[in-house]
Amino acid sequence: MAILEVRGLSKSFDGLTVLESVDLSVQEGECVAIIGTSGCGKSVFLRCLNLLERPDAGSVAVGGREITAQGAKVDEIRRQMGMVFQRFCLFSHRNVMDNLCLAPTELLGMPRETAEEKAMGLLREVGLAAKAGAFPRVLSGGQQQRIAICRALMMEPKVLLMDEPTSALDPAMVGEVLAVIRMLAKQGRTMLIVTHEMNFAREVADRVLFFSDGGIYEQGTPEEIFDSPQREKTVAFIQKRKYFTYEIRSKEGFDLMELQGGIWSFAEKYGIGGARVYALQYCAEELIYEFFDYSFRDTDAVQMTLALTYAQAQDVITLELESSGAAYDPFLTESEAAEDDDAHIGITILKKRIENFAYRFDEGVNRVRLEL
Amino acid sequence: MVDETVASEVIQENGWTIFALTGRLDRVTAPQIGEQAESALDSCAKLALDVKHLSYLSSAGIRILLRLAQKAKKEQKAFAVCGAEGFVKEVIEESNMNAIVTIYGERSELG
Repeated sequence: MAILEVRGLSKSFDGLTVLESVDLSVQEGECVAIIGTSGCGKSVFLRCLNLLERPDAGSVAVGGREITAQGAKVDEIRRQMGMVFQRFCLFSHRNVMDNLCLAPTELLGMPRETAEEKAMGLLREVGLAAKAGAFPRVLSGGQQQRIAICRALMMEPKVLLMDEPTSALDPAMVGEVLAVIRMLAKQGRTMLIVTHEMNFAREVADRVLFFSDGGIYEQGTPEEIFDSPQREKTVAFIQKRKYFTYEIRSKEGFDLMELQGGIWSFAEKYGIGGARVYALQYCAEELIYEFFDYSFRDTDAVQMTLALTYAQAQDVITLELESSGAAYDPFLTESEAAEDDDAHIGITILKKRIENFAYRFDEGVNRVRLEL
Repeated sequence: MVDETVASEVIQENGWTIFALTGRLDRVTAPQIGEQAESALDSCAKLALDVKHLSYLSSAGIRILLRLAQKAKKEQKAFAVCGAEGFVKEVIEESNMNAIVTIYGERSELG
């Protein structure tokens, strides 16, 4: 039997139908990713499941108990669904341990000692045991979200609902939260995750739901949805953004020709014109060698990832380079051929070509991003 | 497809030794081309690098042009670049190289 059973769920706001007669069965241990454009109703759907939004029609049952039934013990059934929000929603005036223990002690009558033991176990799992006494304000967004996930788990829910759990985070912190969710998926937790992280959805989900036109427009395995979507709007959504990534693990082993060939094929496939391809190749080459020469001076082993994203609708190509090695901001350098100092001339030329570029160093990683 | 390599050709024309390049001048192909071009400069008084058929140029190629310009100056020889178009022309202009190297539009303009 399905652990979560949704039948005929409908919801409209001021006459605007957002969800129309949605049916969904989720099996125990299944991880379901919900994707779709902004305003497609995916978050409303999630909020209707635990009655944070009251559906206009339809039924929702968790573990065989219908939360939408007349006279249902809503609070009790709702506890079967742990919710993780975009903005962590921790109690700011209570420390981490109190945040975790409050609901189970107050609502489930769990002895404080048992709750603390359970909380410490969860904190250890998410790598935050040392923060038990800390207040939310001293924690990073990523840490707060990991705590918020622990808080949801304290109630031992049958289903975890996550509403864009990484979208309020600084990009540098997305990884640590996704890592925790990945772990939960491996543990066989039943989860519904509304997300914009397509690569993550592909990797972690057993099933992907694409929401459009008031409901589940298309669903399937990650391979079915991402590699061969069948319906028009799914195709448009999936193909809106195109990705190309390239990993570099050693200076000696780096094959510039292979990378440039990859960029060329990527560009050709999506109709990116000749001059822009050369510009892309130029930026990639100059940045990579700038890091080879100045961030990885005395070592052959490197850890670099170059990623290109093409947003077709906006016709913008984003190049992102993540690199381990010594902190090094390539854009601080300046040199001119005419001044007989050509050490950084590649980057100097790059800066003349590109208006939007940024550099950050956090958690041991150099991050360069530029737009063409 | 990407032009996989770079090719060079040496031609004599109007008293100039023309070192004509085809393909891509980047960090991988630059060292070899640099050596060939320097030895061409060694055996002539006027060297012109014809980049008309060069499709791609990165800073590694710019550095070769600068080395050649410096060497020519030191040895009191003439050095010029000609034929730059499209992306290659843009990179040459953005490098400010025209301040130290004479740039001609076409090979036929070489004086």
